[in-house]
Amino acid sequence: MAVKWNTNLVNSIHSAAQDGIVDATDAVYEETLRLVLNTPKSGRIYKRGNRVHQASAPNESFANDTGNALRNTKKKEMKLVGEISADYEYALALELGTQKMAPRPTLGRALENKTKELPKIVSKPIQEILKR
Amino acid sequence: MIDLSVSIRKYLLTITGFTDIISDYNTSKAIFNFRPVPEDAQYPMSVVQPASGGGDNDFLNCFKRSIPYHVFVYNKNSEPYDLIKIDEAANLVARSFHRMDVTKLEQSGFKIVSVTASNPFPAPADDNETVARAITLNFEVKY
Repeated sequence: MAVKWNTNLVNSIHSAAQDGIVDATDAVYEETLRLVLNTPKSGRIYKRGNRVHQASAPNESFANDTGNALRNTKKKEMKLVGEISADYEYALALELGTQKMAPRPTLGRALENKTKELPKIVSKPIQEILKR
Repeated sequence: MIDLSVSIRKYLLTITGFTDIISDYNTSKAIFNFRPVPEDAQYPMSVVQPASGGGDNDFLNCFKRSIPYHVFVYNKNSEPYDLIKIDEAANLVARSFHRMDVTKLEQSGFKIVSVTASNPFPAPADDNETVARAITLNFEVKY
């Protein structure tokens, strides 16, 4: 008995899995942006010239001020791996806190909020291929 | 919400080598479960805080939750021995918690099934005059 390997199908599943990873990374990245930009903050209010900035309170996601943190929060997809990185000096201090500052967890919380959806997001493109 | 910080703090107070390193504060040790730490607290000190992550899972007839916590150890960075001291303290915490006998932890309204501890990793501090190490403790809790 000969077994015929369906190379086209295997390749399609590989590429669908990669699409799923891209979608999942996007979902976590968008959740990060939502937490920073669209969730209410209740920390101190600072006035800088004409601009008023409300900081985040302990344990809220950090508030966007100069845009530096968000500008340096980047997503990257490699072969079946999605990565969101915070490439700025005080990223770890915001995420974990220091002895004098309570944490402002953002990336961890974004991942936590999306954890249950991620398997569905990743498997959706694969299921579509298998249905054909 | 299941708050484990009090029972973690109480257990930390029983780890002899660890409490030898941590400085005194009031009538106890400088182990805090809040931040910012008090202004008059001395180094080396420790902070216990919940971490983000974790999640819910089902057991057969109850719920199980993974609850991560961080234990931070801070010290002044003035002499080389300062860093060795907190490395030692952090390693002691990790070794004491990793797969420990959970009955030694205070529990009410929930049951801790297991605890695992990560290796200590460098943690952020407020300035360059302070060094820090953190350990992630992952609690599996049945409730």
